[in-house]
Formats: sequence, C-alpha cells, structure tokens
Amino acid sequence: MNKKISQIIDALTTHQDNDSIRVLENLGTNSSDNDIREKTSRALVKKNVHDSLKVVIINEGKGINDLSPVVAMSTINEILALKDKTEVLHILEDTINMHSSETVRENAASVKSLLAL
Amino acid sequence: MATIDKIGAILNTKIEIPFKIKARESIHTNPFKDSKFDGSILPADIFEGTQLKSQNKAKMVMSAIAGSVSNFSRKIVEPVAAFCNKVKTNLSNAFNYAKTTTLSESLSDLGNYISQKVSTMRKNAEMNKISDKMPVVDLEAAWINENKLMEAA
Repeated sequence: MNKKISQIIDALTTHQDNDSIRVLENLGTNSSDNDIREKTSRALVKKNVHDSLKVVIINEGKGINDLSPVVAMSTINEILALKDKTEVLHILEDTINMHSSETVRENAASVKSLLAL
Repeated sequence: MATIDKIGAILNTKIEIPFKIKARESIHTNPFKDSKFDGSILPADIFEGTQLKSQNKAKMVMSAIAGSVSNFSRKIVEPVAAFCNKVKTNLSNAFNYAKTTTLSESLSDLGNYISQKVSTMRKNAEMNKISDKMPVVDLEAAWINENKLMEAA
C-alpha cells in the first residue's frame, strides 16, 4: 500500500473532525485496492462512533459485507477487539431487525453471534 | 769584649714570638668557599667547627632540600608563565589572521548556506508530514492527489 495514503488514513483515524468519516468512506471504502479498503474499514471501526460503524455494517460491499473475505474478516476482528461494544451492538440489532438486504442482515447476525461468544 | 760578642750573638738569633700567627688558614676557613647557594639560605650554624655532628648534618640536608624545593618552584613557574604567554600570543595571532583573511567570510557563507538548507528541509518535512493536526480537507486533497499519481504511474 502507498505509504502516504496509509499515513493519511492513520491521521483520519485519530482526527477529531467527524468529516474524516466522510473522507474515509468516499475515498477508502470505495477504493479498488483491497489493502486500502481493509485499512479504511478498520479505521472506521476504531473510531467507534455511530456514523463510522454504520458505514462498515449496513452498507453492501463495505466493511463486514465486503466482497473480499480478507477485508470482511479484518473488519470483524477489529469489531471484536473493541473495548466498548455498546454502539456496535446497537447498530447490529437495528441492522438485523430493519435492513432490507437479507445478506446484510445475515452478516450482522453472524457478527453479533461472534460478539456473544 | 767577649761580653759584647756574646750579646751580639744573642741579638742575631731569631726569637720566636709565642703570639705570632703562623698560618691564618689553619685557624679560619671560609665555609662558603666551595658552595653555590643561588640565593638559598642555609640556616645551619657553620661556625661550630669543621667536624659536623650527626645532628648538624641532618640540619644541613634538610636545608638543602628546602632550598631545592624553593628553586624547583621558581624554575617551574617561569615556564608555565612563558607557555601561557605563548598561547595567548598564538590565539591573538590566529584571531587576527581569521579577521583579516577571507577565510572567515567563507566560513560565514558556508554556515549561512547550511542553516538555510536545514531550515528549508525542516519546513518541507513539516509540510510533508501527515498528521491529524492537518485539516480534513487538506488530508482529502492529499489523498486524491496520491490517487492521481498512482493512476498516472
């Protein structure tokens, strides 16, 4: 992965401005590079706020729903590593109950099962 | 007549005077004859006779040591002072040389050049350093720029 892009993602991960979530979503999760998508998804999970977690849980083709198993598993591992799982559990509940896509609902249910272990 | 002759014979004979000093050296000797004191003072009593007692001998030895130490300190101080003067003179000469020649100007230019280069490098490093202190807009622009560079490559 490009070193400068990696540094930018790291900077956006710790950035206090919520606009950083928008940049990570637009430029990171939509990237054609698997490594960039993986790093971006992990960055969004690390932020551990509603808007960032929503991106990697409810969007098809992003985060835990990414077509790349590496990206999806890496995102799930990061979710499992969170100390405070309150917000992620809340979003998973809503996704399981209300999302229109069955695949997304199943993925969310799987992650919730893993968190319960 | 015979009596006169006897008296004349008596007058011709040398009568030794009992108080006459035969040899002056035998009574008084110059104690400083073979000594070189170089200003050192020997406090030992030298009028006690030529045969020195053991106590007097020790006194003489100690006096000699004291004189030697005094001379030694005097001898060592002078070279130190000379050395300091020499260093002072050399430093002064070097300073004058540096002041009058173009070498000082060259060094000054070199120092300014290095300082400017380091300052520029530091500024560039700060500009290029990506951190969360940068505005999100700038980070976004940098990311887009990198994507363009990667596509072009």
